Amino acid sequence: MEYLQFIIIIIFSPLIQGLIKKLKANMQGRVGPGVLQPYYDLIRLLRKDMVVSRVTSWIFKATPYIVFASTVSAAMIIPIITTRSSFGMMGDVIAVIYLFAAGRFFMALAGLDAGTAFGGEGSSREMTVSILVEPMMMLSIFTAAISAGSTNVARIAETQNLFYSPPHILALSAFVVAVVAETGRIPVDNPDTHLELTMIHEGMLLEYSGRYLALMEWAHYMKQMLLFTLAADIFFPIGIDSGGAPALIAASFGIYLCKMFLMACAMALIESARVKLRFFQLPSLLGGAFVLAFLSLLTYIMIGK
Amino acid sequence: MIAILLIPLVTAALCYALRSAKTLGYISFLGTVVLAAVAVPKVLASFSAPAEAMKGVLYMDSVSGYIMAMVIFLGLASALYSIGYLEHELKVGLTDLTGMRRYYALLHIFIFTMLLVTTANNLALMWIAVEATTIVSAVLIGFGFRKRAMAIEAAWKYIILCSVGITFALLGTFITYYASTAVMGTEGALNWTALKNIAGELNPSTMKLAFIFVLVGYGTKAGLAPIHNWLPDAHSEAPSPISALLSGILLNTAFYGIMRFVSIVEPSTGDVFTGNLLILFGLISIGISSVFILVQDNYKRLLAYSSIEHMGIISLGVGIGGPLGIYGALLHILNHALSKPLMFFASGKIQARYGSTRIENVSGVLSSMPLLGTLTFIGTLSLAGTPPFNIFISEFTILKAGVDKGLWPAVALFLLFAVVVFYGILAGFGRMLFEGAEKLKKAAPEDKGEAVAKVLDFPDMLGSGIMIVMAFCIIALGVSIPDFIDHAIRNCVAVLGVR
Amino acid sequence: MKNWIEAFSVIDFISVGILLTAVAMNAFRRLESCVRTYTVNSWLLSSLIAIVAFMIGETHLYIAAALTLVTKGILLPVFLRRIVKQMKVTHDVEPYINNALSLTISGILVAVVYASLSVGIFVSGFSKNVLQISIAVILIGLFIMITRRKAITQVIGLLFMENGLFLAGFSLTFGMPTIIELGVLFDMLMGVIILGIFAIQIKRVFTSSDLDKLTILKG
Repeated sequence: MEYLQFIIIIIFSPLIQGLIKKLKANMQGRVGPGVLQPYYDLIRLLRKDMVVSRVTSWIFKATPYIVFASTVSAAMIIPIITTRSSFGMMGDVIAVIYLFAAGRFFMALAGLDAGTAFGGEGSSREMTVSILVEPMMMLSIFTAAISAGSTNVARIAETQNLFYSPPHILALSAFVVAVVAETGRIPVDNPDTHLELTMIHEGMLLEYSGRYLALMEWAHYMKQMLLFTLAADIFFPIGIDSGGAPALIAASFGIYLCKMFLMACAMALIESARVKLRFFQLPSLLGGAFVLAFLSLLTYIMIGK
Repeated sequence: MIAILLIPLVTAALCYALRSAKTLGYISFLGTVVLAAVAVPKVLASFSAPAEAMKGVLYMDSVSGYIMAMVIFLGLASALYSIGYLEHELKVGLTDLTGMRRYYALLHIFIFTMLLVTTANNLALMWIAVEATTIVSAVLIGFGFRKRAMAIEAAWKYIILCSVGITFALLGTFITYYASTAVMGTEGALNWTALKNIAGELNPSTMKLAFIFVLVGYGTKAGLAPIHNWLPDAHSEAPSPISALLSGILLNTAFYGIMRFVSIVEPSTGDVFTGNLLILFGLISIGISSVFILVQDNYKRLLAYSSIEHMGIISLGVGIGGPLGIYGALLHILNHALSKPLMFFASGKIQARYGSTRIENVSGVLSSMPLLGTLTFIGTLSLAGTPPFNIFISEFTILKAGVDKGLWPAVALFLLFAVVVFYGILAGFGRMLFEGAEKLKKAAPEDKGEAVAKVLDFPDMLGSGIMIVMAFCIIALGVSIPDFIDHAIRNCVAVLGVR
Repeated sequence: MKNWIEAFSVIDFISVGILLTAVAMNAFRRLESCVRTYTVNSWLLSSLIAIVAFMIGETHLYIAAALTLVTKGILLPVFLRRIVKQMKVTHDVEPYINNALSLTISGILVAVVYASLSVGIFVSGFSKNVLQISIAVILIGLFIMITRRKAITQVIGLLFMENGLFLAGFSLTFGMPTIIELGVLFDMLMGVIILGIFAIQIKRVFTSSDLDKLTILKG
């Protein structure tokens, strides 16, 4: 049972995406699409034929599978509703970050592969952002990892007790920025537009269609939900189950859904309240968040709690 | 003691209230005379027994008295000199009545803050007073009585750098307070007298940290290199009487703070730690300033760099330590406080006469203005450390102390730099003094200053009078040190507790 | 109430907040934001003193907190805002180095301070990290002074240094005697007023508030 918890991510991740879109629309005074819209989109895309450019190589065709597979592997490592999962022993939080990085690497390659201007642009931007985001994410997780004495996400979730301390808050704020950047949301990227001058993530997907696009989008939804889950595990582990009783797992599942809902709200709020930054302003934001993460680590070492 | 502090304030208020350009200067001079009359007995008394006031907040021992005497003497001298200087500025239209009133008022507040430094027993109060001297003197430099771009630039650098520096001194003071409360509780824990008693029990590593901060902080204010950049600007752009005060005594009051700290830090950390730091800072100052003196083409800046050099020598003296080293340093403070203001007074007159502060624009001072030229010559020789003059004696004393302690590298470097400085100063001023007078007509500007300086009127004579007195002191001190000064310095050495 | 403060480590939060506002100074582009950051910093400082006063029950610390609030939290920001308005320089701070680098360097400064003071030369105060934070704030203030071009930003850097200094003094000794603090604050107030007047003079004489123009005097 607990080995299958990653299925939750696969199934529910489009729902989270739909939820954020709906909430955002409501906050902006629009009706917006229904929360199930991403499911319909995925089904529609899976049914459609594909158009693949003749100049592309095997990388273009392999990338959707690699991205999807790497994301699912990450989902297996991260505890979702219970920390008792033997998959968790196979990798720690660093592995999670590098699984994401592997997916991103292939996505960037695929963006370049088709040889279009926008794909290359998207790839180069994505890589620039990731240079800043990856170490920042690591640092903010390290604060928690040091206090838990382990980089294993399950151990962190079990022993996490930083709840009311400055380093915790600093790391959390840095992590939020990292999540925003990783999921390609405002103010870093705008997920709703294909305006060529601003897009980052969408630029790399521009050449994909049909089944491949469905896989890529799905992987993206999953990554988003995984990052939320990671945030919940590391910063708000209250309620996560560490035993194995079915009743407790059910309760944990309910709590988990509540947390996901709250995070979706927070994300929608951030997206509605902020404006997209110009690309060359990003280093300021991400650099600031990096310093936050850094300070959090230092403060943790200093205060020692 | 409170009266001593009140008199300058009252004078300042009077000067600000007065609305007559003629009498303003004399009132201010009168104020300093009254101050001197009140203070001299106190100073003399302080050499035999320390005095306290305001429940121990104010305190006066021989070191305070020694520095205070210099503050008062130079305050008097520059008040006297200011009369003629400001009348000249008024005539050529560089200032107006408002400017003069502000100038005199600030001058006396400046004197007040320096007096407060010397009488403060509480180290934090001393810090407040030192910071106040910065603020007041910055105003005097920047827009005391005329608005020029360069003066504002100098004042800005001065106040920013000194405020930053002195912030560190306050940190050092805090740390000292921390160390002393650990030993004696909070009551009077920052009073120098109390600290002196328990100096041996303070935590050495804490005091080391405190001393480093204090040295950097007050060292900035005292013009020790490498944080000396503000000094040449400020001293060369200030009005000459103010330059004289800044160079002659303000630097010394900052150094006075360092000496007070040395005497409470040394018992716990040992004199090697403080000594090495002071010697290092001293040698760096002497070295850097000697290079700049050599290449300087502006005589007021040359004098300012010479101030850095002399502060370096004083620091070296205190750093070498021992009764002889401290004796030499204290004597050097006095000698420098006589020679440097004399030179700044003279340079003010030269500037008024030639309308330029560049060495190349000035020549034949000795032949065109025999009295002023002679005085300048005496000052130059003294500053360069030529044997029959006062500064040679004190430099020699410090050297002797260094040789006695076997600090050969420091002694050798000092001698080397002293030679460079000797050449630099003599070359610069020698050109101004002796070079042909025929170029004078060409170089001098046509209109301003020319007519005024020709006629020796009464205020001008007052200024020359005080300069003659100072030159006389320089020669007298060079020949032999009078008994009462010798006695006073020996008392100071004893108070500072040098073993 | 006291338990509550302990449990939620309010003192840690406020001191880290003081550090954060200092670091944040590096990120801001507009002069008004800088002044506002300074205001927040001063309010945090004052509230920290007040809370410690409450915790240890010292009346003279309440006075210190009030004095800090009045001078640093109200008078100085109002004065600075007026200067900014008078100089009509509401636009960019124009640092010599870009914001990201400047943020990074200030982060490194904090690390250096933490590392060098972690040995614990003297820690007996109320919170282990306050001394480190205060030294870091002093250094960041200095760094801001070095890297900013506008006269007013230099003043703000200086003020941050002073705040750090107050925090340091406070963490070491629970504050100086009130009369001394009054004197120091008065000095500071006068200094800033004079600096403000100078800044306006610079603007008027050099027709620019950039300090780059101040290069007549050298050598």
